[in-house]
Amino acid sequence: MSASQPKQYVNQIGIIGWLKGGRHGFEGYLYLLHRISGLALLLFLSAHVFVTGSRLFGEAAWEQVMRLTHHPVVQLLEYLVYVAFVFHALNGVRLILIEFGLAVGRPERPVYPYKSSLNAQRKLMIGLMIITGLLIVLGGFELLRFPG
Amino acid sequence: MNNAHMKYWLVNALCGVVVLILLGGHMAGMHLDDLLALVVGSSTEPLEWAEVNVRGQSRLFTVSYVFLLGTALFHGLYGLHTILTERWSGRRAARFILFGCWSAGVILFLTGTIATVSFHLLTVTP
Repeated sequence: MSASQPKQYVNQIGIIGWLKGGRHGFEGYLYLLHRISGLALLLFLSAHVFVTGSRLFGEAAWEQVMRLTHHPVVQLLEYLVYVAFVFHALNGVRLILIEFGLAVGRPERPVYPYKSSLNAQRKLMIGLMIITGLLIVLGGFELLRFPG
Repeated sequence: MNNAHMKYWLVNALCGVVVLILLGGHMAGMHLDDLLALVVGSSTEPLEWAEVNVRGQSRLFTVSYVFLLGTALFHGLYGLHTILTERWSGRRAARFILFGCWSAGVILFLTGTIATVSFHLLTVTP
């Protein structure tokens, strides 16, 4: 291998690695939830493109689709999409802030005992997760009003 | 990570912020309308056919839907691409995954854009 080529590492843990928070603790599990919620939202978006496209076929087609969305199972799925969105959005805000070096504290010399930047951002994480929880409960009042 | 990867990552992060704002507004307006009415004071039924038509006539809504679709697809498929290439990192697999993600993105974007723009043209035509 030449000096200019970076060394390649084989991913030996694979997707099972998602399940291990490891030294990242609770944030490691947020990482898992971020990926799962992102995949769910992508799946929903793909279906949403076709479902909302029904408006092209006129009022009757649109009303038929809307009747389907009043089914309790569909309403529950809609609520889960909302939950996934709220979590993914607020956790995403945390990730972007951290990526740009915000909310992780000032850089310090690595003097023993070492301080982890995980502890510096934890207040932000807790605050955002409380807001996430509140929004999820609030949204439930509207999205989980089953007809009948 | 090379320069192109960093640019893609930055676009992905910016798309995430745009999606947060536009999708947040879309969610609140379309699905949390009663809660929103408590804040802004008036309530409509956004999913009624008449309201769907009003939005269809609006150029601003049409453009914002297409923009939201594009940014959301880029953000979502970038994430999917990252997950898949983490698992299958060989050169051939990576090329296949990239091709698959771009193909899915282009198909979904064209489908959504054609539906949105066609509906706009239908609603504004007397």
